[in-house]
Amino acid sequence: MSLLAPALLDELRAAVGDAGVSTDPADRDAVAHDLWPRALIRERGGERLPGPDAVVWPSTRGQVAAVCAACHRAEIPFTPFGAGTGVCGAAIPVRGGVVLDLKRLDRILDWDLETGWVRVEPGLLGSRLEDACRERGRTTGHHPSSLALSTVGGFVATRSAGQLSTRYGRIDDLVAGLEAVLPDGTEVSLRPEPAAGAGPDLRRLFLGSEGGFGVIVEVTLRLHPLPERRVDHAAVFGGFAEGIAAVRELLQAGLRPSLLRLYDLADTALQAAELGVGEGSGALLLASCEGRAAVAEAEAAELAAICAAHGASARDPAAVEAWYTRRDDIGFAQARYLPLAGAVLDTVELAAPWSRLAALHEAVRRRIGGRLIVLCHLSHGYPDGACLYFSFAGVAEEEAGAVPLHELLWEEVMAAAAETGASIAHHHGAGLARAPYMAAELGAGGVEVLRRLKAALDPGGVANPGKWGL
Amino acid sequence: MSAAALPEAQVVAAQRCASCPKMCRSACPTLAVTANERHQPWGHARTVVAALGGQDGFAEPATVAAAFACATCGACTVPCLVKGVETTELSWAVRAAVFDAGATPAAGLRAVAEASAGRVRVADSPPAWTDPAATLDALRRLATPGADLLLLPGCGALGHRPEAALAAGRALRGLGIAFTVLDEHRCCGAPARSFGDTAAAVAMLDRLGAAIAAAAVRRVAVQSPSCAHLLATHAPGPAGVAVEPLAGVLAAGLASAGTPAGHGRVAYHDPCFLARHLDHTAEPRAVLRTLGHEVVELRGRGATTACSGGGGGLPLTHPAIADGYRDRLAAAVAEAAGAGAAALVTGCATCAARLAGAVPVPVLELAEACAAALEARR
Repeated sequence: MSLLAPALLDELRAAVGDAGVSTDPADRDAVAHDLWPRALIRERGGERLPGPDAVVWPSTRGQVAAVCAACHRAEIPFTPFGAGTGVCGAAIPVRGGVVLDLKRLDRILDWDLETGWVRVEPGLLGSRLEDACRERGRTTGHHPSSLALSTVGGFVATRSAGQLSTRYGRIDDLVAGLEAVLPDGTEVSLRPEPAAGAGPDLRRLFLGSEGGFGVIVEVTLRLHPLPERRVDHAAVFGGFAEGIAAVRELLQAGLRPSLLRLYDLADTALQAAELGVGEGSGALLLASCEGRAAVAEAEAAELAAICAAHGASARDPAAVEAWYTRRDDIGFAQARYLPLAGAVLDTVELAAPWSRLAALHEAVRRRIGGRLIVLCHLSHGYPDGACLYFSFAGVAEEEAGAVPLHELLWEEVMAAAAETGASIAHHHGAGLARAPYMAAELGAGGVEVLRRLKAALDPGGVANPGKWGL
Repeated sequence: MSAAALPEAQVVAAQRCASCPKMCRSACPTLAVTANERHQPWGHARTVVAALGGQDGFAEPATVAAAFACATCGACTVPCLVKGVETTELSWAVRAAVFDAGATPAAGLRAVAEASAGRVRVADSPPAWTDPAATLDALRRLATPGADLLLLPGCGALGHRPEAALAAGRALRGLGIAFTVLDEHRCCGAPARSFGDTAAAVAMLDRLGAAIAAAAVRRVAVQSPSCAHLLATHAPGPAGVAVEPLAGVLAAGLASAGTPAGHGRVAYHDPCFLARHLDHTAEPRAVLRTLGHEVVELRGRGATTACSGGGGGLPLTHPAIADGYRDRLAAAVAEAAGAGAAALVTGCATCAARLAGAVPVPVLELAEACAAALEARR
């Protein structure tokens, strides 16, 4: 049964209709957690997370505002929920209350193809948006491996980055404008602009906000023309360090390949077999340059030349196409191995400037190696640094040891980030996974700004409480 | 009831499905209709895992509700690459476990009882069923005793849209293809499989196999897609009897009949069991094109076709969800109508019955389109 007061349930039903509110335990259980591996491991061990007291499905922004206002008045927490595929626990309703399921807000509202904008609702699946874009000869360029299982609202709320972000930018760069409902129900419209300079950029306040400042109810995203040509390049460097040096040089030279992935030696050994690029020694680079044909070809030629100058030997670019065909398949492996007793699987994405990237790679491997399999690739490159994306896999001796092993994994990886001055997150968000480390990331001053913002926008503390370590 | 009622391979499948990051969520029509996180293969599999370790086993209400909130359309099988998981097979296995637990919805039990008795339950509330005997009698008047082709309309055509079954006879006759029909309707057992009554399903399949043997034919043309799928995968008849969807027989017959003048643009809807489960997509289009139609493709076709919601017993247990499926498909048909399609043709009589009146153009089952065009040519 629900612990919510009947009066609040009545108010919620008045806001969204009887069919839009459920206190059915099965409905609540399905939104009790997202895909944070810690929660999945706990569930595998027989634990049931408590979940919310009710699930509410608004289908208009007005309904979102009414629900937020009702929760605010009743001092009941609410947690926005899209597809529930985040991996850091941001959508877990740790203090119960209401889960605000946004899947019925899934419309494409408007195209401005002349400008290159599309206005959408937050519950829209990424793949549906991309399909619609392609029908119009456009792309957002935003393609996380979860494209078909995550929503636009989720992208914005967790500051997602797609596989091609080196060219197209991360979601931060793609949001031209957004509209949100504050925790007390106040509606805010931050209109889309190509650029603006009057005061702080309030749009950015909601990027990565994970529902803590309210609910994103509309997003205007930037569009790009579909590329006329894509030119692939595959190469193998003698070592990861040589590859990093080449990637740094090409990014600092102004090249912006769409795909840019450099695997470390352990990951190369695995990828090489799957992609058919030889015996798997060295560090494998997969890259694509795309856009106008002449520009893509010229950019790819420059990229190949820089790689060769760093001692890389070129491989059959068919390996890149092979990568594209399985670019989103990592979840299938999770389905196969996560049910095994004691299994611990996770990915952690960190970011660092070039001057500290190699040290970060070494620190993570030193702290985790021997306890879990550690694979790493560099992706999402910038002129001043890059993301290192680590994948971890291992098995605790018994099921009871899986949660402690997962906790140890995070402690060590976060310590590696602190040791080398790296950012603790690149694009999976903060949620619960990174809550204990936010003070180290933001510093005391940063945490104070965050705390004051939260208090100002959400004085009742009802909007997705318990996140960010606040 | 014991949770061990689920075969070990399906236990593993359920565990893997429940551990998947919802890779098929964009394909699931039940999730699209309900917007409810529990109603997708991941959520349904979680209820199976819960049943395996729970007190009430497969009688747990959430497990039962999940088991039947699915048309077994197989859309989720297209994106799924999880080794050892075949979601439609898992769904049928779970329904069998629910049946063993004595928790099958009453509407399902009633449908199975009537299928066993040779009738077709087409709605549960208010109850409605059809007796195929009159349609079979009419078909028999078009048939040729001793022909080596058996026309098996199946419950979909005989029960939901008798005019489609009659059109099948008219089309075969128009093509000069002699056929025979069974003395009485025999259900293939698909409704019993849908509601988990394995014993009844096997008994029905065996009875149909015996009837096919008694008919002494060399080929069986099956009109209802789910029936065609079940017969193709379980082959109940005697060895050497070829079973194929009616669409293939019509396509082959038309190939040698010459090309008539144009009959306009029609949209074609791929039924789930014909297109996704049997990969039978070229033959219906060949029929339409040979008849002179230009085929307008729907958004969602072939392996990614949209389900009308008529399968898996969904209209009997979850009519609102089934109607949601239909409405999504109807929207795609309306879009095709806007692109110039003057009619919708579907390879499934049940789909035709569900869509008629819900779309802005006339709806025809494939055999109806074929018979009408052949008769107009004369």
